[in-house]
Amino acid sequence: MFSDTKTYDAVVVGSGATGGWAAKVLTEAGMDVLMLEAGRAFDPATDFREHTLPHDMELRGRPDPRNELLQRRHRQSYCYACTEVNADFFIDDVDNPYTEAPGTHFNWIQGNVVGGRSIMWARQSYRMSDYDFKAASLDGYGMDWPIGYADLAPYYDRVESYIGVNGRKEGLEILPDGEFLPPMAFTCGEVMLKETLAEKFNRPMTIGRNAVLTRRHNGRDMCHYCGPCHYGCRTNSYFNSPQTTLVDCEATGRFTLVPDAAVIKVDMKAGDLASGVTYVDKNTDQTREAKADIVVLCASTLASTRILLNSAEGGLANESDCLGRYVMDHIYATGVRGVLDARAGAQPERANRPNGIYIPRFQNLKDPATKNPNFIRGYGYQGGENITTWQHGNGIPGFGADFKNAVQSSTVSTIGLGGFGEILPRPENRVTLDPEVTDKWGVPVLQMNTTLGSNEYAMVQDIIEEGRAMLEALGCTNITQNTEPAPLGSGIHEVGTARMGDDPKTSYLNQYQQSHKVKNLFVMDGSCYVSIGCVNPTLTMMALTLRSSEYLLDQHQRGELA
Amino acid sequence: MSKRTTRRNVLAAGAGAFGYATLQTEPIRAAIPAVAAYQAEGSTWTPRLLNPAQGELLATLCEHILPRTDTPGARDAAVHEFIDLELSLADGDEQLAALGGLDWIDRRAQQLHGSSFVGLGAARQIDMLREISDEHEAHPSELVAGAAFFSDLKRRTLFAFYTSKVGRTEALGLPDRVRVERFRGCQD
Ligand SMILES: Cc1cc2nc3c(=O)[nH]c(=O)nc-3n(C[C@H](O)[C@H](O)[C@H](O)COP(=O)(O)OP(=O)(O)OC[C@H]3O[C@@H](n4cnc5c(N)ncnc54)[C@H](O)[C@@H]3O)c2cc1C
Ligand code: SF4
Repeated sequence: MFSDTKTYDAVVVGSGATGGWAAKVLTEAGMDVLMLEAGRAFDPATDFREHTLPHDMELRGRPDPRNELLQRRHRQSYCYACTEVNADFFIDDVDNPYTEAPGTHFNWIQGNVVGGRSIMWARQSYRMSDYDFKAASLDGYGMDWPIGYADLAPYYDRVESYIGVNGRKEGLEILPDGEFLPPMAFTCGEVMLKETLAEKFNRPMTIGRNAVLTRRHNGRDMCHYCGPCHYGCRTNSYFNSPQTTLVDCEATGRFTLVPDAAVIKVDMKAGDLASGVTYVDKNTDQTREAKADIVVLCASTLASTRILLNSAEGGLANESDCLGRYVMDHIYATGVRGVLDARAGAQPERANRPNGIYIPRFQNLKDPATKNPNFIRGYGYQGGENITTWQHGNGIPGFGADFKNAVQSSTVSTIGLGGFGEILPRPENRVTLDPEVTDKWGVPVLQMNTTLGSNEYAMVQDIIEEGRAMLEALGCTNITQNTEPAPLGSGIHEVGTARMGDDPKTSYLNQYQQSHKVKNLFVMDGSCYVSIGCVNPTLTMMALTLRSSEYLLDQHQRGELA
Repeated sequence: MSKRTTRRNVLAAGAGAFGYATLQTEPIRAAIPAVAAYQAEGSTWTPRLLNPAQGELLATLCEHILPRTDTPGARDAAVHEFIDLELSLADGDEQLAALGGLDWIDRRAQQLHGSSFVGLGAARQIDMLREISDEHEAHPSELVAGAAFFSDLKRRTLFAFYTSKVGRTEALGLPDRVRVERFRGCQD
């Protein structure tokens, strides 16, 4: 039970991928932790719906205009993972609006349940390398991270060992290996692609590394390949916080989780110290205060930034003017797809592999031959082979019994490659408080003001050209492409709005995600990113949270945070 | 925002696109004997957008696209019911195109054979569909509207059939429930 009179050792805001880690470390070390979560309570036993088949749904999974949950998620439904099965995992756009500066677009996809987006995420889990942490030193753009790969490697090890990440060791500097469970298998079309890339392009390709159990691990069952993990997983076979970190928190007996509690601001006391937070109890619409010796924001990058902007005029402790700036995400939605005739008629497996292939960044590496003069940094491809069961019927002429037999006795294999490219940290890509619009509870909302720059557009062009070249070399026909990158946010990898650094003049947080100014305030989600690299960010976020939480503990024990 | 259009203004708007004054939906119903037979068999289906005659016409067309063979066909999977449901929720332009297409089929049947489409024997029905099907790369101008309707209907039929329980289990041979599986990968 939550108590407003008690002062907790720490309050953690947000119960998603990062919040779960922070609370696990602190509770297991003996601290009394309050976790406030804006989303509703969530019970995997009743809320998970991964075995829903098309015929279980009246419209077979197509968007249903009568569905009020979906209507209230008109922005969330941009995301492939938000459907009538799980719309209630996502935030209500009507009650929780955000705005966009004129002429700009931003897709902000948010969870709104205990577990946040760790429930819907696609689980791709890659390590960043010093190409990313030290990118500025390599090409002169922006700022290095205050830490390097060696600082984070032990934490990557521990996070991977705990959550369970499958993958294949490749020995690549750009994509460091980890503590992997057995890798998932390639399809035959993917084997052909891998061979083509090795022979004709000298490019490595690996199976996706993802947080799904390929064997029993830490008391959790292995994956049974049903496929739609974004609807949940009753066998607990992929990483999400409610089935792992939060369970550990509960087990300590020192954990108080309050759902439906949307934090508005960080409260302050004398000596530039935080005293707790103010939040809205969404069940009563009342504002309440929670007191704690240490405040840890893990509400996800932009939500944490919004809290800090709402905490003081001009943003709490924002002398650096970094808060809200340097919004980054990944270039998303551009790529190519082609038909692999050599695999026509191949039988799809009944099992549904919740994973794809990965082609790591292959340009602008130390080898001068990899230099691309058109842009700095780089991109990787995610994708794989898809075999149709009936969808190819639209391409078979005619109708009737022969047609039906033709549909049912043939299959078409396609190979898709989607680029995930690094977006540069630019100060003018920023979020601010909208001067007019508030949410349902009267709290000012974010206005997004972000665009892609010339480096990103040059990269998009290359994603298409290289993608086409690889598919052509593989022998694909009917190659189609998408050259239009989606607006920022669409990659759902938003980071960077309270970046870390050694110098308080040019950064908001130090390398332990601690406010330079308010020493008992930590922001342990993706806000701290200095540059984003091109791999999916959540594994790195969790490794950072683990590292910073242990630093917090150490400082707390030394009495440095009071 | 998708346009929400009432049935009434769909019918009114029909005039321009297909070049006839009004989509006469209600009177057709009485004129078609097959409808009566279908209903007499105790069908409990009540169409949402279509009238019963259009519903029967749609069912007949879908069954021609994916007929019952050694596996069930479109009518077994109630494909027409799904398409009617989907159309009832679609925007005005989409409804208009579908209703106009159904009407086109019947007018063509009247023009060629002096009968509604459903009133024709199967062989004639199939011949009529042949001329608008995608077996031809191009269609003469008087058949272009019909051909567009056919390709749209084929797309809808494939989706509705193969995502149905019958289509999934009996036509594709997949289990009707998720089973515990292992992903084997390339064994070659
Ligand atoms: C469909 C999808 C696919 C994805 N695929 C991948 C992938 O393959 N690989 C990858 O690395 N990443 C992926 N991501 C991104 C990944 O989910 C996020 O990076 C990760 O969840 C971020 O962790 P977090 O703790 O910062 O935020 P979240 O996990 O989103 O959790 C934040 C929590 O804070 C709560 N909150 C927000 N505001 C407040 C407030 N004011 N007060 C209290 N609580 C608040 C939210 O309700 C939420 O529960 C994907 C995301 C989605 C949606
Ligand atoms: S594919 Fe595997 S991890 Fe995903 S929901 Fe199914 S069993 Fe769980």
